[in-house]
Amino acid sequence: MKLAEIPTIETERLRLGAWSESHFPAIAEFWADEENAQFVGGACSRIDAWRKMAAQLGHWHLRGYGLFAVVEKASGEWIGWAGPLFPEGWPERELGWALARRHQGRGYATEAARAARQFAADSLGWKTAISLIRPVNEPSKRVAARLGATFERMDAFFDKPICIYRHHLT
Amino acid sequence: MMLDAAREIETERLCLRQWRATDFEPFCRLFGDAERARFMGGHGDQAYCWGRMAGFAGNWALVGHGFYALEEKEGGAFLGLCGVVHRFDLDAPELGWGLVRQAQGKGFAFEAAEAVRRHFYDDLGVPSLVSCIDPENTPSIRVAARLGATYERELSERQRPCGLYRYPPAHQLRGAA
Repeated sequence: MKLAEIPTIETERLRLGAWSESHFPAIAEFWADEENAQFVGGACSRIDAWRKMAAQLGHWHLRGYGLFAVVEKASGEWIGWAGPLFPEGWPERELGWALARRHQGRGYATEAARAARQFAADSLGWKTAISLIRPVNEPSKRVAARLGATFERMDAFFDKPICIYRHHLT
Repeated sequence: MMLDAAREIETERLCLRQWRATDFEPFCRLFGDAERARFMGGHGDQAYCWGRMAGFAGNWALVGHGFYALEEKEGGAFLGLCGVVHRFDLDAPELGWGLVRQAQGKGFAFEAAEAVRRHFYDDLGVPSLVSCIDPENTPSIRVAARLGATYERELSERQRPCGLYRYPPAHQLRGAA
Protein backbone atom coordinates (compact mmCIF):
# COMPACT_ATOMS: atom_id res chain seq x y z
CA MET A 1 0.00 0.00 0.00
CA LYS A 2 1.30 3.43 -0.95
CA LEU A 3 1.70 6.16 1.63
CA ALA A 4 -0.35 9.30 1.24
CA GLU A 5 0.73 11.93 -1.29
CA ILE A 6 0.73 15.29 0.44
CA PRO A 7 0.37 18.31 -1.84
CA THR A 8 2.35 21.52 -1.45
CA ILE A 9 0.58 24.86 -1.27
CA GLU A 10 2.40 28.16 -1.62
CA THR A 11 1.14 31.41 -0.21
CA GLU A 12 2.87 34.77 -0.39
CA ARG A 13 5.22 34.06 2.53
CA LEU A 14 4.58 30.42 3.46
CA ARG A 15 4.80 26.90 2.15
CA LEU A 16 2.31 24.30 3.37
CA GLY A 17 3.37 20.70 2.76
CA ALA A 18 4.45 17.33 4.11
CA TRP A 19 6.02 16.98 7.55
CA SER A 20 9.66 15.95 7.37
CA GLU A 21 12.36 14.82 9.73
CA SER A 22 14.26 18.04 8.97
CA HIS A 23 11.49 19.95 10.78
CA PHE A 24 11.97 17.98 13.95
CA PRO A 25 14.37 20.29 15.85
CA ALA A 26 11.87 23.15 15.51
CA ILE A 27 8.96 20.82 16.34
CA ALA A 28 10.68 19.42 19.43
CA GLU A 29 11.33 23.00 20.54
CA PHE A 30 7.66 23.86 20.02
CA TRP A 31 6.47 20.96 22.17
CA ALA A 32 9.05 21.59 24.90
CA ASP A 33 7.61 25.06 25.50
CA GLU A 34 4.51 25.13 27.69
CA GLU A 35 3.46 28.51 26.39
CA ASN A 36 3.50 27.26 22.79
CA ALA A 37 1.68 24.06 23.60
CA GLN A 38 -0.85 25.33 26.12
CA PHE A 39 -3.78 25.39 23.66
CA VAL A 40 -2.92 22.14 21.88
CA GLY A 41 -2.73 19.68 24.74
CA GLY A 42 0.29 20.93 26.67
CA ALA A 43 4.06 20.50 26.49
CA CYS A 44 5.50 17.02 26.08
CA SER A 45 8.72 15.02 25.88
CA ARG A 46 10.90 14.68 22.80
CA ILE A 47 9.66 11.13 22.19
CA ASP A 48 6.05 12.31 22.34
CA ALA A 49 6.90 15.23 20.04
CA TRP A 50 8.19 12.72 17.50
CA ARG A 51 5.02 10.65 17.89
CA LYS A 52 2.86 13.73 17.35
CA MET A 53 4.79 14.68 14.21
CA ALA A 54 4.52 11.11 12.91
CA ALA A 55 0.83 11.07 13.82
CA GLN A 56 0.15 14.04 11.53
CA LEU A 57 1.59 12.07 8.60
CA GLY A 58 -0.36 9.04 9.73
CA HIS A 59 -3.53 11.07 9.70
CA TRP A 60 -2.89 11.84 6.02
CA HIS A 61 -2.33 8.16 5.35
CA LEU A 62 -5.46 7.01 7.20
CA ARG A 63 -7.87 9.77 6.17
CA GLY A 64 -6.39 11.07 2.90
CA TYR A 65 -5.99 14.57 4.33
CA GLY A 66 -4.52 16.16 7.41
CA LEU A 67 -2.54 19.02 8.87
CA PHE A 68 0.16 20.57 6.70
CA ALA A 69 3.53 21.49 8.11
CA VAL A 70 3.92 25.24 7.62
CA VAL A 71 7.34 26.56 6.63
CA GLU A 72 8.41 30.17 6.28
CA LYS A 73 9.64 30.49 2.71
CA ALA A 74 12.31 33.11 3.42
CA SER A 75 14.08 31.09 6.13
CA GLY A 76 12.98 27.53 5.32
CA GLU A 77 12.08 27.18 8.97
CA TRP A 78 9.14 25.13 10.31
CA ILE A 79 6.85 27.57 12.10
CA GLY A 80 3.63 25.64 12.81
CA TRP A 81 0.77 23.81 11.16
CA ALA A 82 -2.57 24.34 9.46
CA GLY A 83 -5.03 22.09 7.71
CA PRO A 84 -8.10 19.91 7.80
CA LEU A 85 -8.25 17.18 10.42
CA PHE A 86 -10.62 14.61 11.85
CA PRO A 87 -9.02 12.30 14.42
CA GLU A 88 -11.10 9.75 16.29
CA GLY A 89 -12.87 11.35 19.22
CA TRP A 90 -13.36 14.70 17.44
CA PRO A 91 -16.90 16.11 17.39
CA GLU A 92 -16.72 17.07 13.72
CA ARG A 93 -14.26 17.75 10.93
CA GLU A 94 -11.99 20.62 11.87
CA LEU A 95 -9.83 23.30 10.34
CA GLY A 96 -6.89 23.67 12.69
CA TRP A 97 -3.80 25.82 12.97
CA ALA A 98 -1.02 26.64 15.41
CA LEU A 99 2.05 28.78 15.25
CA ALA A 100 5.27 28.74 17.28
CA ARG A 101 5.28 31.66 19.67
CA ARG A 102 8.17 33.55 18.16
CA HIS A 103 6.47 33.68 14.77
CA GLN A 104 3.22 35.10 16.07
CA GLY A 105 1.97 38.59 15.38
CA ARG A 106 2.79 38.77 11.67
CA GLY A 107 -0.37 37.34 10.20
CA TYR A 108 1.22 33.97 9.44
CA ALA A 109 -1.52 31.96 11.16
CA THR A 110 -4.21 33.70 9.14
CA GLU A 111 -2.23 33.28 5.92
CA ALA A 112 -1.75 29.54 6.57
CA ALA A 113 -5.28 28.90 7.83
CA ARG A 114 -6.77 30.69 4.83
CA ALA A 115 -4.82 28.43 2.47
CA ALA A 116 -5.94 25.39 4.47
CA ARG A 117 -9.55 26.55 4.35
CA GLN A 118 -9.36 26.89 0.58
CA PHE A 119 -7.78 23.43 0.28
CA ALA A 120 -10.62 21.91 2.32
CA ALA A 121 -13.23 23.62 0.17
CA ASP A 122 -11.64 23.15 -3.27
CA SER A 123 -9.76 19.85 -3.02
CA LEU A 124 -11.80 17.99 -0.41
CA GLY A 125 -15.18 19.47 -1.23
CA TRP A 126 -15.97 20.25 2.40
CA LYS A 127 -19.07 22.39 2.83
CA THR A 128 -18.55 23.10 6.49
CA ALA A 129 -16.00 22.63 9.26
CA ILE A 130 -15.47 23.72 12.82
CA SER A 131 -12.48 25.10 14.68
CA LEU A 132 -11.99 24.11 18.31
CA ILE A 133 -10.49 27.04 20.21
CA ARG A 134 -9.81 27.36 23.93
CA PRO A 135 -11.73 30.29 25.46
CA VAL A 136 -8.54 32.11 26.48
CA ASN A 137 -6.82 31.68 23.13
CA GLU A 138 -7.51 35.19 21.86
CA PRO A 139 -5.04 35.10 18.93
CA SER A 140 -6.76 32.03 17.44
CA LYS A 141 -10.20 33.56 17.90
CA ARG A 142 -9.01 36.54 15.87
CA VAL A 143 -7.75 34.22 13.13
CA ALA A 144 -11.14 32.47 13.04
CA ALA A 145 -12.90 35.82 12.76
CA ARG A 146 -10.60 36.96 9.93
CA LEU A 147 -11.46 33.77 8.03
CA GLY A 148 -15.16 34.58 8.37
CA ALA A 149 -15.93 31.83 10.90
CA THR A 150 -18.64 32.55 13.47
CA PHE A 151 -18.87 31.53 17.11
CA GLU A 152 -21.41 28.73 17.41
CA ARG A 153 -21.37 27.38 20.96
CA MET A 154 -19.37 26.37 23.99
CA ASP A 155 -18.65 22.70 24.54
CA ALA A 156 -16.29 20.48 26.50
CA PHE A 157 -13.22 18.97 24.91
CA PHE A 158 -10.81 16.76 26.83
CA ASP A 159 -12.63 17.85 30.01
CA LYS A 160 -12.02 21.54 29.42
CA PRO A 161 -14.27 24.22 27.94
CA ILE A 162 -13.88 24.89 24.23
CA CYS A 163 -15.34 27.44 21.81
CA ILE A 164 -16.69 25.98 18.63
CA TYR A 165 -16.36 28.25 15.60
CA ARG A 166 -18.16 27.39 12.38
CA HIS A 167 -16.76 27.79 8.87
CA HIS A 168 -19.16 27.85 5.94
CA LEU A 169 -17.06 26.81 2.99
CA THR A 170 -19.46 27.35 0.11
CA MET B 1 17.34 8.39 9.81
CA MET B 2 15.94 7.44 6.41
CA LEU B 3 15.86 3.71 5.80
CA ASP B 4 13.49 2.43 3.15
CA ALA B 5 11.98 -0.83 4.34
CA ALA B 6 9.61 -3.11 2.44
CA ARG B 7 6.06 -1.89 2.89
CA GLU B 8 4.88 -5.47 3.33
CA ILE B 9 6.46 -8.68 4.57
CA GLU B 10 4.85 -12.10 4.44
CA THR B 11 5.61 -14.97 6.74
CA GLU B 12 4.07 -18.40 6.95
CA ARG B 13 1.04 -17.28 8.96
CA LEU B 14 1.29 -13.48 8.94
CA CYS B 15 1.07 -10.47 6.71
CA LEU B 16 3.06 -7.51 8.02
CA ARG B 17 1.55 -4.51 6.27
CA GLN B 18 0.81 -0.77 6.38
CA TRP B 19 -1.89 0.66 8.63
CA ARG B 20 -5.53 1.08 7.65
CA ALA B 21 -8.32 3.12 9.23
CA THR B 22 -10.17 -0.18 9.79
CA ASP B 23 -7.40 -1.33 12.16
CA PHE B 24 -8.58 1.30 14.61
CA GLU B 25 -11.16 -0.74 16.47
CA PRO B 26 -8.92 -3.71 17.31
CA PHE B 27 -6.03 -1.27 17.84
CA CYS B 28 -8.12 0.43 20.56
CA ARG B 29 -8.59 -2.90 22.30
CA LEU B 30 -4.81 -3.13 22.47
CA PHE B 31 -3.93 0.46 23.40
CA GLY B 32 -7.07 1.12 25.40
CA ASP B 33 -6.27 -1.78 27.72
CA ALA B 34 -4.04 -0.81 30.66
CA GLU B 35 -2.72 -4.33 31.10
CA ARG B 36 -1.94 -4.79 27.39
CA ALA B 37 -0.49 -1.36 26.72
CA ARG B 38 1.63 -0.86 29.80
CA PHE B 39 4.72 -2.23 28.04
CA MET B 40 4.06 -0.14 24.94
CA GLY B 41 4.08 3.41 26.26
CA GLY B 42 0.81 3.26 28.15
CA HIS B 43 -2.90 3.11 27.44
CA GLY B 44 -5.46 5.86 26.90
CA ASP B 45 -8.80 6.95 25.49
CA GLN B 46 -9.89 6.94 21.86
CA ALA B 47 -8.09 10.16 21.03
CA TYR B 48 -4.88 8.82 22.55
CA CYS B 49 -5.26 5.57 20.61
CA TRP B 50 -5.80 7.51 17.39
CA GLY B 51 -2.64 9.51 18.04
CA ARG B 52 -0.63 6.37 18.66
CA MET B 53 -1.94 4.51 15.62
CA ALA B 54 -1.50 7.54 13.37
CA GLY B 55 1.98 7.87 14.84
CA PHE B 56 2.88 4.33 13.86
CA ALA B 57 1.48 4.90 10.37
CA GLY B 58 3.16 8.27 9.93
CA ASN B 59 6.59 7.15 11.06
CA TRP B 60 6.84 5.35 7.72
CA ALA B 61 6.37 8.59 5.81
CA LEU B 62 9.00 10.32 7.92
CA VAL B 63 11.83 7.79 7.87
CA GLY B 64 10.73 5.01 5.50
CA HIS B 65 10.27 2.37 8.19
CA GLY B 66 8.48 1.79 11.47
CA PHE B 67 5.95 -0.59 12.96
CA TYR B 68 3.94 -2.82 10.67
CA ALA B 69 0.35 -3.77 11.41
CA LEU B 70 0.20 -7.56 11.89
CA GLU B 71 -2.58 -9.41 10.15
CA GLU B 72 -3.27 -13.11 10.35
CA LYS B 73 -3.31 -14.45 6.80
CA GLU B 74 -6.07 -16.89 7.60
CA GLY B 75 -9.14 -14.84 8.42
CA GLY B 76 -7.46 -11.42 8.19
CA ALA B 77 -7.66 -10.57 11.91
CA PHE B 78 -5.56 -7.69 13.28
CA LEU B 79 -3.08 -9.26 15.71
CA GLY B 80 -0.88 -6.37 16.77
CA LEU B 81 2.28 -4.68 15.59
CA CYS B 82 5.94 -5.37 14.95
CA GLY B 83 8.71 -3.29 13.48
CA VAL B 84 11.85 -1.22 13.85
CA VAL B 85 12.16 2.32 15.18
CA HIS B 86 14.96 4.67 16.17
CA ARG B 87 15.07 5.96 19.73
CA PHE B 88 17.00 9.04 20.68
CA ASP B 89 18.68 7.29 23.60
CA LEU B 90 19.82 4.08 21.85
CA ASP B 91 22.91 3.31 19.78
CA ALA B 92 21.09 0.86 17.49
CA PRO B 93 17.60 0.67 15.99
CA GLU B 94 15.02 -1.02 18.19
CA LEU B 95 13.07 -4.11 17.22
CA GLY B 96 9.67 -4.12 18.89
CA TRP B 97 6.34 -5.94 18.91
CA GLY B 98 3.02 -6.13 20.70
CA LEU B 99 0.08 -8.50 20.37
CA VAL B 100 -3.63 -8.43 21.14
CA ARG B 101 -4.55 -10.76 23.96
CA GLN B 102 -6.01 -13.57 21.87
CA ALA B 103 -2.90 -13.73 19.65
CA GLN B 104 -0.54 -14.48 22.52
CA GLY B 105 1.13 -17.82 23.08
CA LYS B 106 1.12 -18.94 19.44
CA GLY B 107 4.58 -17.83 18.37
CA PHE B 108 3.27 -14.91 16.31
CA ALA B 109 5.59 -12.34 17.91
CA PHE B 110 8.63 -14.52 17.24
CA GLU B 111 7.51 -15.21 13.68
CA ALA B 112 7.01 -11.50 12.94
CA ALA B 113 10.12 -10.25 14.74
CA GLU B 114 12.33 -12.87 13.12
CA ALA B 115 11.11 -11.87 9.64
CA VAL B 116 11.55 -8.17 10.37
CA ARG B 117 15.06 -8.72 11.72
CA ARG B 118 16.01 -10.76 8.67
CA HIS B 119 14.76 -7.99 6.36
CA PHE B 120 16.62 -5.26 8.25
CA TYR B 121 19.83 -7.30 8.52
CA ASP B 122 19.95 -8.99 5.13
CA ASP B 123 18.14 -6.61 2.77
CA LEU B 124 18.75 -3.22 4.37
CA GLY B 125 22.22 -3.78 5.77
CA VAL B 126 21.43 -2.74 9.33
CA PRO B 127 24.38 -4.12 11.36
CA SER B 128 22.70 -4.59 14.75
CA LEU B 129 19.39 -4.32 16.57
CA VAL B 130 18.29 -4.04 20.18
CA SER B 131 15.03 -4.34 22.13
CA CYS B 132 13.93 -2.50 25.27
CA ILE B 133 11.82 -4.72 27.49
CA ASP B 134 10.22 -4.15 30.87
CA PRO B 135 11.49 -6.72 33.40
CA GLU B 136 7.87 -7.72 34.10
CA ASN B 137 7.19 -8.42 30.43
CA THR B 138 8.04 -12.11 30.56
CA PRO B 139 6.48 -13.10 27.21
CA SER B 140 8.56 -10.52 25.33
CA ILE B 141 11.75 -11.42 27.19
CA ARG B 142 11.13 -14.98 26.05
CA VAL B 143 10.68 -13.88 22.43
CA ALA B 144 13.92 -11.87 22.58
CA ALA B 145 15.73 -14.87 24.07
CA ARG B 146 14.43 -17.12 21.30
CA LEU B 147 15.89 -14.60 18.86
CA GLY B 148 19.28 -14.92 20.56
CA ALA B 149 19.24 -11.60 22.41
CA THR B 150 21.37 -11.08 25.50
CA TYR B 151 20.55 -8.75 28.38
CA GLU B 152 22.96 -5.82 28.45
CA ARG B 153 21.89 -3.30 31.10
CA GLU B 154 19.06 -1.40 32.70
CA LEU B 155 18.00 1.83 30.98
CA SER B 156 17.61 3.88 34.12
CA GLU B 157 16.62 7.14 32.40
CA ARG B 158 13.31 5.73 31.14
CA GLN B 159 10.00 6.43 32.88
CA ARG B 160 9.40 2.73 33.38
CA PRO B 161 11.99 0.11 34.23
CA CYS B 162 13.44 -1.16 31.01
CA GLY B 163 16.10 -3.71 30.12
CA LEU B 164 18.26 -3.30 27.03
CA TYR B 165 18.59 -6.53 25.06
CA ARG B 166 21.02 -6.86 22.17
CA TYR B 167 20.67 -9.30 19.28
CA PRO B 168 23.64 -11.00 17.69
CA PRO B 169 24.90 -8.66 14.95
CA ALA B 170 24.01 -9.33 11.34
CA HIS B 171 27.39 -10.78 10.35
CA GLN B 172 27.23 -13.34 13.17
CA LEU B 173 23.75 -14.54 12.22
CA ARG B 174 24.80 -14.81 8.60
CA GLY B 175 27.87 -16.76 9.65
CA ALA B 176 25.71 -19.17 11.59
CA ALA B 177 23.23 -19.73 8.77
